[in-house]
Amino acid sequence: MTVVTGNVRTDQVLAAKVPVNMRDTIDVLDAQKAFFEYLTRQFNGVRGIDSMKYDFMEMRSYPFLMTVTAVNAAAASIVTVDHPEYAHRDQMIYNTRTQEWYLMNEDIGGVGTGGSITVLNQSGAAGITSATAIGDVLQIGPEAHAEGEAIPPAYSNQPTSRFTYLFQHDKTRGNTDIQQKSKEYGTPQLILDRKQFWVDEMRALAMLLYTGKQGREVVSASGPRRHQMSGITEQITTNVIDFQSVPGALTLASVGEMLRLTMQHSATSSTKVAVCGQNSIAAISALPAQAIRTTVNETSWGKELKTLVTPFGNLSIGYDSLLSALYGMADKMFILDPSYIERLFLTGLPTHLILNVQANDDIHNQKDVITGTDGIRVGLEELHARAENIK
Amino acid sequence: MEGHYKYFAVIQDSSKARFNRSFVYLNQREWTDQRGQFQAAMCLSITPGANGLYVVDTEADYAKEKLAVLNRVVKDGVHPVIGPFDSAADAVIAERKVRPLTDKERVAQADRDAAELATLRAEKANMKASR
Repeated sequence: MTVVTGNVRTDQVLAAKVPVNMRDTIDVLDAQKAFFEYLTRQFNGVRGIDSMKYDFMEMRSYPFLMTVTAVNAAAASIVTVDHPEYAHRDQMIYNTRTQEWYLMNEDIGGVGTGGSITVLNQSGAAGITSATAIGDVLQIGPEAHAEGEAIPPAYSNQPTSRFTYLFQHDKTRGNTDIQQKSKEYGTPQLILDRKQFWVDEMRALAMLLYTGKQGREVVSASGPRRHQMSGITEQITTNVIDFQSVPGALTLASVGEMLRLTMQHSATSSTKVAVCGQNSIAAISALPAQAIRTTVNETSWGKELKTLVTPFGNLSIGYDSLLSALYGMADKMFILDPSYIERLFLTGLPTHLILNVQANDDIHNQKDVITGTDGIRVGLEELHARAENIK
Repeated sequence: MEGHYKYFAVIQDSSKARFNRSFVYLNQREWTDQRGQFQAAMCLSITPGANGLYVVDTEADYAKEKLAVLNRVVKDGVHPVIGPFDSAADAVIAERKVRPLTDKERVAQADRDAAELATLRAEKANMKASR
């Protein structure tokens, strides 16, 4: 027995007799970390498909340009180009450098002389007037029809065939039966673990939606195949705008320049969605208040989006905290056409959480598993843009 | 025409997505100049043309800015851009020398090599026969 001499101080009270004064609530720092994962599901819905590979087609306009690939001397009757098959008989071909018109003199380019179009000068009497140069850009104009002549041969172009892969992702956490039943302060650790377990996987998935590089193991596969999904960075290739070499932050004009690139085709939506990184949202926040409006789009996609009005159209803006310096993504900004972003999963295997997975012969341990399939399709990539190196 | 133009070529790799990056060369906030004139914000970028070349007209506005940006891109070496060249032809020829062959070109190259090999073998056989 321990003897206390004199007045009893708090430090002399038996430790087991003093309750721990623990706050019941546990603050969770990152209860939400998947802004982009959520947002992309709102754009054009989530589609269940029947294969890990999703094929789709896109129709583009018939090619309008050819490039000269070799010097052809004045008076030559051929012009060497990269895609002679684009041009057809009696079409007017315009050399943008020499400003000379040619007249196609064969049914389909490349048939008379491989890799070249056979042409006459505009009067139809002789070869070209000025020598061509490598790199000359040729426009393919309409057919110039001679009176009473037969109609020209038919031609058209096929759609472009594209595909994207889904991937399957699993993640496991576990606990014992004793841990589950033991009394704890506040929300049971099991509940917290389960919530954070889901949030962390969604964060990883959200980042992959930006950065994923698609793949299917075939070369190294001695066993089952492994798929990896493609993110939007890989799928947006035409409109990539680089601010590396200019000082100063993003301006309303910079946003307009990015929007301009995405608005050049008739399929475009009138309102695009910008997902901003740390640097671009800081610059946009500094724009004059009258440039930013609050519209119905602010909440229609379930996240707070403001609207910027530019001469090229309206832009709904959201900030994703994953696009920050902490994650090495502060300089990024994406402009997306919501009509052509589609989230995908294999039918019957959406991403979900299975609780209390337990083996029949192991009654003391239980596991929770996140499993599912995910992918994203960026349709008509010319309607989207990404910016890099925003300071 | 080419006298006052500078050309930068992109080394395209057919196994990758086409490189079509727009480089911003002017990013200016709105400001008021010394005469009190309001100058609007501007953001301008340069993109490769149909022939895959960045073309700078050295007599046009912002030529200095365009050249500075493209020269820096070339110097940094991060992106597959080479130049400057004085003509589009020089740019395209330089690009052809260094770019990876396309599948079609590889097949053509293999055909040429096979034909050359067959010729050499035939010559060797003739030499043997004539000894």
